[in-house]
Amino acid sequence: MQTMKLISSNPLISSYANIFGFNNINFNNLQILRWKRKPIWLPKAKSKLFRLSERAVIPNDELLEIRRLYNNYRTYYRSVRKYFIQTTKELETRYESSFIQQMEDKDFDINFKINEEWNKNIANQREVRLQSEKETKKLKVLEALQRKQVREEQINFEVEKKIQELKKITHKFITRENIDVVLNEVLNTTIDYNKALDLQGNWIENENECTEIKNKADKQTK
Amino acid sequence: MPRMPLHLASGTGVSSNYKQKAIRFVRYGCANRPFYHIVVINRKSQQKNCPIEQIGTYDKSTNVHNEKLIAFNYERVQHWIGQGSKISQPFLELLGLAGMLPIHPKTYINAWRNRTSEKKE
Repeated sequence: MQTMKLISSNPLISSYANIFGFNNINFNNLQILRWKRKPIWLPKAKSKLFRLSERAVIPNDELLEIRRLYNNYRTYYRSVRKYFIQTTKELETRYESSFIQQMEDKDFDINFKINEEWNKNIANQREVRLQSEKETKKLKVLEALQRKQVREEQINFEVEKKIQELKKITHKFITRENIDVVLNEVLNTTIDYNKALDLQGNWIENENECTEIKNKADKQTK
Repeated sequence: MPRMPLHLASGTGVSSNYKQKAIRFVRYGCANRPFYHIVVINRKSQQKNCPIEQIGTYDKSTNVHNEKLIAFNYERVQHWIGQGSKISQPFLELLGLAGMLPIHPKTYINAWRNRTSEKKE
């Protein structure tokens, strides 16, 4: 029922409703209630059917003035336009593709020459620079070689020194010949590490003495 | 859904010799804030279709210093007039004010009508 009310109240939809009849409304063809602009196929509103907008009344002298202005403007504008057309044509003829190509070629030649000159200059500069770089590199390598030589000499000297020192003590080494003698010597000389040092720096080698001292100390603390 | 143009606003540069061209405004900006591009476009194509070339811009609304700013390329306008393209009346008026063409009669008419209306008030 609500839809029926809506349809009857809205003039936009009612025109549709009249066409299709109330009983079989095609909802696909319904106009939605909110619209931005009146659709173009709808007829003119009833209230505005016989409305005529008033014609603007321009006074005669003003009309004449406007006409004069427009006539002047048209003539001026036409002449300016024709001038522009002429200038564009002239430009087109002046700057033909072949002419432009010619100019570009000329320009390219000039630029090529300048570029070659620059290249030559830069090549000379590069040669000088490379030469100097080569020399500095050579010097650097020579210096490095010298340093290396000095270092190696130093190492050799130190090694030689060590060898000499070792050679001096070779007579102390145990060899096949003197092993028996050394063994005997070692077996004969026993070293007793079971000894203690007191605060005065005296070695106490006897075990009994050591225990006595300890007992004394214990008693004192008690 | 906003209309998303698929062409450059600065123009595609594609023009046909057999179609008449027009120099006119295209309204960009947004609601209540117009901003116009001055474009060369085929005369029968719609406002926001792809233009051949954008010649300039026109900001109709005044800025802080009470100025309406317009910028356009004189040489290109001259070129396109030379090619025989039509110019819309609003742009003709502006060209007149810019000093490129004679002043359009509409500017005179508007001026004196504004003056008379001011006097009446």
